[in-house]
Amino acid sequence: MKPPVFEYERPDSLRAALDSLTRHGSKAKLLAGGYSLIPMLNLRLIKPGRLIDVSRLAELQYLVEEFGQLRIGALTTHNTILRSSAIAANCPIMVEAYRHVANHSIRNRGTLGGNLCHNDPTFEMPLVVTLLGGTMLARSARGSRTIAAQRFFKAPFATDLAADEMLVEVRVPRMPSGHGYCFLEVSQRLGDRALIAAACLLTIRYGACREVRIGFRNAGDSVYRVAAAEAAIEGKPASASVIEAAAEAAAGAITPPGDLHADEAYRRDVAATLTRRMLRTACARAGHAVDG
Amino acid sequence: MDTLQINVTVNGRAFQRRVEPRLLLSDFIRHEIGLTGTHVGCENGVCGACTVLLDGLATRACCMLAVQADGRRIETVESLGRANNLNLLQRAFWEMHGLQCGYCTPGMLMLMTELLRENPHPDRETIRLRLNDNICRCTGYEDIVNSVVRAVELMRGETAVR
Amino acid sequence: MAEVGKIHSPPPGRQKERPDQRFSIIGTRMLRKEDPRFLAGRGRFIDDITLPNIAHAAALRSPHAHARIRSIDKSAAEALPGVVAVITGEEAARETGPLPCFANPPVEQRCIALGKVRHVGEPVALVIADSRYIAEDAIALINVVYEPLPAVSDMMEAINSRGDAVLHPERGPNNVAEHRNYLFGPVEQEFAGAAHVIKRRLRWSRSGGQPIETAGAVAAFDEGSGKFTIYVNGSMYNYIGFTIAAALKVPSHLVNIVPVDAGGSFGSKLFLHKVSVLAALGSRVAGRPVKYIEDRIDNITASDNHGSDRIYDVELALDASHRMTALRYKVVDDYGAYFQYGLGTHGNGFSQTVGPYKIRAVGAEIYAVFTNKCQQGACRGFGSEVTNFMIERIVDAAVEELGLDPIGFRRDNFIGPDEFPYQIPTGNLYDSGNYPGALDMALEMLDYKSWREKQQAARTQGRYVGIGVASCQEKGVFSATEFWMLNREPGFALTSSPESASVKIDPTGKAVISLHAPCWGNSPETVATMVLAEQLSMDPADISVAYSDTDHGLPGTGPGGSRYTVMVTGAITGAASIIKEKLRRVAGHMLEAGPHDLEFRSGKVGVKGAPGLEVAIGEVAMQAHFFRLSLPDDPELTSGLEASYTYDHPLATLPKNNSDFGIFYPIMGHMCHMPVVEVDAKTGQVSFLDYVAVHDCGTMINPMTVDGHVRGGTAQGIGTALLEHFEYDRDGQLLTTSFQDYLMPRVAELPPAIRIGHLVTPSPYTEYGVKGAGEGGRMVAPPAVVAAIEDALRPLGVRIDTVPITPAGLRALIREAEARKGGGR
Repeated sequence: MKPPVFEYERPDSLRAALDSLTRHGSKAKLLAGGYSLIPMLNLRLIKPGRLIDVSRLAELQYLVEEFGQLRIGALTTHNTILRSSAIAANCPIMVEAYRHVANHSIRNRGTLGGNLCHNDPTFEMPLVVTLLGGTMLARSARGSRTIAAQRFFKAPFATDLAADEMLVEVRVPRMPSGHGYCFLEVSQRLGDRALIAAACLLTIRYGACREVRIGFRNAGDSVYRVAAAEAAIEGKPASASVIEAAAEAAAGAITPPGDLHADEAYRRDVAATLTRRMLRTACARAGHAVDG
Repeated sequence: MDTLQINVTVNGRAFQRRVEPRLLLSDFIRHEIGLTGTHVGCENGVCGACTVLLDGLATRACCMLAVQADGRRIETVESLGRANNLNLLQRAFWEMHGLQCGYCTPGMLMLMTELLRENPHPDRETIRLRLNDNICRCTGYEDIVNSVVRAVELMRGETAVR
Repeated sequence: MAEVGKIHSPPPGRQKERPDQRFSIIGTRMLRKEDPRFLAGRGRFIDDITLPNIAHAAALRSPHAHARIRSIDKSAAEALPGVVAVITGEEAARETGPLPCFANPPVEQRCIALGKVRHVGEPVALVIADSRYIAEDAIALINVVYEPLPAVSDMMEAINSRGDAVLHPERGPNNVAEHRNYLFGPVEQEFAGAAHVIKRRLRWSRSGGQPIETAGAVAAFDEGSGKFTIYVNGSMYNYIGFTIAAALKVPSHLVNIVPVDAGGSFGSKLFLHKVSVLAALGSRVAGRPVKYIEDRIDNITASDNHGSDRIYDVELALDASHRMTALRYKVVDDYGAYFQYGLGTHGNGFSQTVGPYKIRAVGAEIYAVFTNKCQQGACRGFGSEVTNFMIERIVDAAVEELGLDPIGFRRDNFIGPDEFPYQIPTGNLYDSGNYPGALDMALEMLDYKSWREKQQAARTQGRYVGIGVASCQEKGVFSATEFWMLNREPGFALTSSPESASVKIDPTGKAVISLHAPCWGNSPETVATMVLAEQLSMDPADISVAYSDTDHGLPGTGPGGSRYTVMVTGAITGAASIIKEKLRRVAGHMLEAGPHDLEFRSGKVGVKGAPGLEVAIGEVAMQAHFFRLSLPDDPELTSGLEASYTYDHPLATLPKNNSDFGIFYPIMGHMCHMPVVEVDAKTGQVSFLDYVAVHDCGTMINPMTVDGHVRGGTAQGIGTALLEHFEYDRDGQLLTTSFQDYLMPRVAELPPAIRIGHLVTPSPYTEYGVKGAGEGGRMVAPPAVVAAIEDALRPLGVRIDTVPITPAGLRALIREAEARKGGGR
């Protein structure tokens, strides 16, 4: 399983990388961590004419706390993010999700940007970033633009990036202290592609659940946030029956795939279970454990 | 474009080679440099048999291009010890039957070398969690975990080697 | 038919070394001889072999499950710079014959598909180039025109295939490779008179060894001598290696096969005919040495070693006292595209087809079918792991339906410890055992009562905790009759399955053992060293081990079928015996003592009862090598100090007829596993709370390596039960073509500890009473784990009849069971 022939360059600046992307466009692929791209090359599933190796662009490896948000350079590795105290303090759901992202060795080189741009429908981070209300900063030789997470992830393996654009930064809002969160994943083995993953964020104010965000991965092509599930709990006090309603709404709203490892019925069924479990955990974390 | 010149340090020695961009790091180490201790199991990034340390970080050599190692420092299993002078981690594997066919072993050793440098006293759970990166088909893993636990003891100087 | 029960005149044995000796080295946890080189990254695996001017081969794999090959245009591939040659199936057929096949009549398989492809992944052309990279580039340039044929993927449909859907029309009008009926004992009678009949349909899906290293070969053809040298990571080269020469159409003395370290096998490297022939063919065509190593896709799709793939309809007859009297089954086994071992995996099961129980009659109807999949080969258990699954599942079904205690029911039906040697209905013999003892040891180690209490407590909390029990046989040391005894016509009815060892003591007293079979991770060097060291009272550090190629090889059947430790122990014992006799004669002469007054102690030969009167083995060896004129004047006493010994199967007899196969697998180990699991009923995920494994493999040469096999085999068994599946779709496309989708257990899927107990019932027939232990855990873990899951879900009434049982599969069963009980989540 050896890669086909390709041209290779390693630009020494973002500017140079963008110029190259402009010149070569869709005939080129960006190489970051390589753990998605190189296995595909080894299998000869893709035959890019050119690889633009951006893995060493230090200018895109950073994690900065600003008032109200965290700015993460797209080429920051997963393990760097996972170990960051700023992330742990402000977006603990990311740390919890990272338990399921590939494995330690892959996280050593794999980058957040590479992960988000690959947008494999079983990858966890697109869901997490979407629920957090993240924004992407994309640059090209033509300029830069910000893209809200909901718009960034277009379809499995596809994002909103144009052929000459590169994701350079991911911005996630800092979650308020005392917020509730939970990320759960069911897979056949620890670290495998998710059969289905579920995540939620919420805060509890004056006894009611607010800013509820509920979403899944591998539950349908464009499924991230499930409005029907959120609506079942938004503004209501957390209780067993409210959580039950959210679970049923979630199971009904998603259109999960059936594949080699699990059929549609299983995913729907487990979506409901994960919704119940994660909402209970999130509420407990927000200081409001649910009885019954 | 045919070949590119790269400079790579492997186990402390500097090498300069011309390589095709598509040459995998695993093939570079095994066939260009001639260090065959790093093994290839899947070329898919799943089994971890090809694990080496790249600037100290556990890395799957089958998922990296040799050209990406230009200017980098690689450590392979051959840097740990020799058959007649094994290091303490290798000795621990020997004492605790941490290998049977030996094929996944170099990958396991490099993975655990990284762990023990990060954390000289990992508990069993921590070892198991890290060990989950790599696949062994022979041992069922328990003796590998026991080997790392033993290595920690040996490194602490708690007991003499067997 | 064979008389069932205790054999009152047991066959005489040839055992020279008794189990009940005081050992210095045997039985200790001696650190392995193999380890230092593997730890240092200095193993010698097939891809580590290189020769000057070596070229690299890659195979164009068929994308179709079934198709005629209409034309192959290789011109563009041949023109690619760096390509040396492209070999098609037609060209290969001019230079090579069919690959070896044990079935009779044989089913023709070619190293490169000829005229037709029969499964996805089958080689259609071989490219030889300066590098594997270029070879793969060239593959993309080969233009093959296929005419697709109907693909059959469902084994039941295969029985009724017709016309173009038939894979081997010369064999018959459908895809039935074999259909046989066997009656061992009064089966009909027992069922007619039974008080209870329990029935189940069971499904064992195909999985496989999947070692981390694939199969490969490096071959060189010497124009000058016309001789091939083939390095290969397979086995059986010193047994049937000559068949590789036959396939290459050269006389067998013009092929030398050289072993290398193998990175695991689990049966899949038993006999690597295809890669050997491909590499050798390539080297002859290319005029350069050729390396052909399967990549992972080659191996998954075309290893020629998928495991059993069966549907059983099994029935168990019991009398009014709940004694099992007869077992009857119909099995359909999906062999894939070829039939290299014939019905061997069913014959293997006949060796232990009643399990550890006193079942007195067995009926079997076996369908072997062809489908458009990779063929079956050898996979840890060689079919008996499935027999064990069938038996323990029907036993558990009886327990469930008749409201019995799983422990008591087994105990009441066990062959008793005083009933050995015991003959089972198929004619095979169980040499020794203590099945109640194993069960009791497991119960105690697990603290079974306490876990039952914890289970009750867990149930009140709505948690699903279960305890599984499986008591299974582990056969060891196959007789060669297994290869042909189920053939309609025997064909080549071989009866030898020996193992050899050669021992040389050099003039300074150091020993080199030559083994005639490879290292698969099964610790052959360690075992051989320990036995020789024990025999000669030598320091293991003074012994090294080498591996003989076929030019220098003696008969060696190799690892597999849990035979190697037993057989090499016999061979080393035999060789050591010859050397000891000579050492006694020469030392006796040096010490002026009679040979019978001498003993071996701490590396010396000395007079019994006279501590000072001794000479070091090295001194004796020096004398033996160089001082002929100082030795007794006996022409039989030649210079030197070495011996070879070929040890034959210690107890095998010929089959008598189709209801009595004689003794073909008598060295019978036993295992009792008790897993404790917790099931997340909402997601179908299973985790382990505890796991006890009791194994009886007779005398253990090295308990440390036995434990390693128990843990590794159990891990594979857990994988078989929960995760592993070569899944094909209706069109014969393999959906699990990489390690992304063929899932093997990682550490997180396994119990935190497998607690091992050893029960020892030595064999009366083998040297030191050793039995086999290599296949072990995989042969008992699947039914044990499935039983534990069923036990956990007993309040819901879930029955599991299929492996693997994945989370989605289990959750579906739970939902069905809940629906049957009338709603609820």
